[in-house]
Amino acid sequence: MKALREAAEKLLREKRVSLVIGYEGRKGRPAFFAAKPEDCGRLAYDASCRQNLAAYLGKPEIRARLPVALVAPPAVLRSIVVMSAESQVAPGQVLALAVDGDSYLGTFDAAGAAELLRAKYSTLAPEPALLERVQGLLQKSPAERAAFWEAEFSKCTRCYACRAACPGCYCSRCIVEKNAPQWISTAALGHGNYTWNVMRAFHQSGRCTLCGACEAACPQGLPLMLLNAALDREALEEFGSRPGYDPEAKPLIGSWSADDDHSYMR
Amino acid sequence: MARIGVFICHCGENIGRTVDCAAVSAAAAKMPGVVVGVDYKYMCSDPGQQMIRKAIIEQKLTGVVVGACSPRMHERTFRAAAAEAGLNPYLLEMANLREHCSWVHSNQAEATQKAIDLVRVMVAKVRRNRALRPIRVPVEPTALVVGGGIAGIQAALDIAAGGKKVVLVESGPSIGGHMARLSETFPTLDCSQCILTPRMVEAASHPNITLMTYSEVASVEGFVGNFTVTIRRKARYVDPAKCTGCGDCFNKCPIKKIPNEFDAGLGQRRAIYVPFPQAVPNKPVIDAAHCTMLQKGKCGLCAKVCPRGAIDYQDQDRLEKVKVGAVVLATGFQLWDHAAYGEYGGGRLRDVIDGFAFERLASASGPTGGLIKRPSDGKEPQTVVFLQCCGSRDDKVGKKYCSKICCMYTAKHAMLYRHKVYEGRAVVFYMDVRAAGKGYEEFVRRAIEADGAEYVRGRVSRITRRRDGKLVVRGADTLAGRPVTIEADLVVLADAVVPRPGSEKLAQLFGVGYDQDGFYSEAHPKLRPVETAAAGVFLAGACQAPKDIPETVSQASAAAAKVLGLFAKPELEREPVIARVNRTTCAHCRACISACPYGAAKDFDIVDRAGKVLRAVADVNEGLCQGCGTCASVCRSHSVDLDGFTDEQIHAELNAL
Amino acid sequence: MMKTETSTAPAPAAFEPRITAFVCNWCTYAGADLAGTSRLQYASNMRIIKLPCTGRIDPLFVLKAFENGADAVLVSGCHPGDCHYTSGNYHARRRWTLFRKLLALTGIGDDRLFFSWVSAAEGQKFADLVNDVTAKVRKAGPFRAAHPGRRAS
Repeated sequence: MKALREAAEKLLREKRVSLVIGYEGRKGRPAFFAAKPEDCGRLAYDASCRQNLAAYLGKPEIRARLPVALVAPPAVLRSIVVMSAESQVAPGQVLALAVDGDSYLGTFDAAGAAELLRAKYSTLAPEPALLERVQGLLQKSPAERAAFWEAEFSKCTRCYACRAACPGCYCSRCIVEKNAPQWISTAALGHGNYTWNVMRAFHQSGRCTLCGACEAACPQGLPLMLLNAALDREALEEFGSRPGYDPEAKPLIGSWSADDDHSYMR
Repeated sequence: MARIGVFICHCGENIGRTVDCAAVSAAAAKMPGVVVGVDYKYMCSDPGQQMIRKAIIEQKLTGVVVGACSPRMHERTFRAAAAEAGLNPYLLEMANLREHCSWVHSNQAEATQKAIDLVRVMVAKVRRNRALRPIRVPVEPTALVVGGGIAGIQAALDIAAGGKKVVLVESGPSIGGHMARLSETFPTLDCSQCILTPRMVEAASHPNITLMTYSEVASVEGFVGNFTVTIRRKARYVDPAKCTGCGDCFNKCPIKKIPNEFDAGLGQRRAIYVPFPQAVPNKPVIDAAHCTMLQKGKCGLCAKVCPRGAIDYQDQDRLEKVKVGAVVLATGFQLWDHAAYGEYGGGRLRDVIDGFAFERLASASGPTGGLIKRPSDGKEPQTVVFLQCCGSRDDKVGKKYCSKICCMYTAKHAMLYRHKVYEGRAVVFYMDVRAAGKGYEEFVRRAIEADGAEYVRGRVSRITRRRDGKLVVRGADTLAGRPVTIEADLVVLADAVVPRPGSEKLAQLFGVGYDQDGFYSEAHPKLRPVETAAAGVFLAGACQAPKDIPETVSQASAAAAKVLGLFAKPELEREPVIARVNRTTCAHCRACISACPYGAAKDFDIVDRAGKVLRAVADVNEGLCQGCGTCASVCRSHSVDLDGFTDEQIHAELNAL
Repeated sequence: MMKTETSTAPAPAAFEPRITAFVCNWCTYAGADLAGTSRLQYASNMRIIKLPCTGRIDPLFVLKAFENGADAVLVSGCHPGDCHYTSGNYHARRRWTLFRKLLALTGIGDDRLFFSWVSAAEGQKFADLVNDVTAKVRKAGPFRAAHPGRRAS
């Protein structure tokens, strides 16, 4: 971690960034913002840091202070690349202090981060345990699946912590906040909860980097990663979609191929 | 406050018999926002329209729903009526109570309930309709005609006569199409080329017509009034500007034995060739696949003998872009390959030929100088059997339709044969004789009564070749009730008329639909036979459905009239169904920019008064947007909306169900 | 001697599914018109929402339809390559592949969510489709029964 702190300090001292966003190393602590070089002594990273710091890149307060640096494990690096592809960060406005486990891997811009990902992390996939749970769910009957999700979604209080934690959720006016017309009921009842969670997962298709921040943030313990992992696999199998590896990638929803499957269409 | 008027049409009995219209209008009168609910026998009639206009004025209506036939039928009619009464036409919607309700359901109670639901959906939508102004776009007064047969030539001549410019694109080296291959035409027995070639020459020399032969449409962009079409000018290897058509090149070409497509393979041509002597333009092209110079770098005789140095072996395909305001598709047809009929020799018997091959035999300028000869041994056939409906009206080979022209050209072929071979026997196997045109029935009777063609009602089950070269034709005479066997020297099959290869792809380039047989779809089978679903794209000739020459010429002139109508005004009014971006909520994820099929969604910088860029968002170009709404559906925050099919309207429609 | 039982209670009404269909104006809507012009007969349970293109359909509309009481949803548009707007249906197609996976994962499958391509010339196909879909949904039963928590407010 010494290397990480030194790199962060250097960025601030040389005024290449005005802010370093990182972790203080213990799960549950909020993100740490270092504006002065001496603050960087508190930076740390370990596997308990589940928060996806790229979520801050959507906040107007942070955007007003660009350029910034971000401590980024591989999933967060992918998020930065996705946000770059969606023109949410201009080139050079975000520098990633790439970390993995105990190692500091270097400082990269979005393009550099993509290169690093392609070189060293090209086979990132959902954890086998998660995929097993998805498979297990798919093996159940439709009625059992419906009952499972009814039970889960009934716990949702619509706190939107999942949205706040997700870097992909940067819309200044989220669809659930649109009230003319109100597509998604804001009441924490069955149909609205279903629509909210399913649509949020759908809106992440081809964009989700499976960082797990949403599930980690959910105070009710909803198994949101089941939705994300299932969609991630489908997008990969059907469209070869691997979000976060190309800062110039076209969005999955917004492009098409003549070969897209339609065997289920009559 | 919404003041909606609902008008339910009985459409005579069409709706009224199954849907209780009075009940529907009574229910409508109680729907929120509705102040008028009436029903009437014929809403589209003058008194019906007057009812609507009167109600708009007297009841100060803010919106109208007409429950009647399909909007595809009368939306325009009713919107015009509303406009006359001072109501913006986009504040009127139609509920489809006929095609989608009374005509497809027989249970009165169910149909009436469905009608009420459909009206409620439209009332909910109309309450959220906004007045829209049509968008004006300039029109490029140049037409593109694709296909240089009689249909394309006629359309081009008519448009040019109307004072507008035409680009006529033909994929072959010469215009003229199939009509140039015919010997005589029914029912007059006019010499086909004699009546065609003057038109070909006129098309080539008309100042308003630009001929692009040996060319194909490669891609299409734009929309009605403003198409940009990229045309592939295939390499001719002969410079038409230098070539005088002297013919020295093809007279010297050593590659002589290529089966000539124009002669249905019965004649031969060279590697450098003009497809037929009356070709327009009368300049040769080199068939690269057969030219030894282009394939192997040897020979070069034509270049050596050409007095003008017009041969250019370095020639390449070129892409040329043209801007046009309207398109006429006139790509014609071809004959189906009867190789699928194993019973008739599977395409392997040389003396079993199709109609075009017979035309070339009969033609004075054909490979046999107008003498009917068997392709196998060149002998004059003494018995010729003609089979009608080969492939047509046959579900087994996937074609249920009638090809329309075969009964007539078979009678013609029988007559021509009998004129040329006085002692010969012509036998025609038929299922029906369809001779519905002017002078057609008389023509067939002449073939039978004056020229002695024998008509046998029945189908042929098998044609086999005997060792002595005779073709044994086994069929049925259903009127006599017995089998019939004929020993023929030549058999002519009336193969089905089918669309040309590549026609599907061409249709897709222009956004034109086609049916399961590949024929292009007209906008309405009865009342709009030359328009298509793609605005600005029209149809002429057999590409739309099998038809004979008089009908082709009529349709071509009709298409030309439509084109001239389009060009009559300098500006076109477009439907204002376009997308709009809410710049406040747009997050600039650019999914819409990626999705738009027309490139109408673009980046847009929001700047302050000093010109400093505050942030970027997406924006839609009204002129390019075609109103598909794809951008609206990919926008996660619903910052893009589609006028005419807004979020609010769809939400209201769903709530009304 | 035959015993006859007369019940005075009315027979329970057979389940009549409510089906919402999102169709494109140029192909499927026209195909439905053709079915009408040809007087083909089909079940009356379907209500069509007309849109310019299947590309306009947000999956949110489908969920809303279910929420509002639909027992099944049909989405139908132009065949690939034939879209009036060139590629709206291609965009739609990609979305549906992902969306139906998500819905299947949460228990809504092929017996409630239907997709088809119906061209303007396919009146018979449209009529057959409506009848087929209606029969399938009748068998699947009411949506509310399978998903009791999804009550609309």
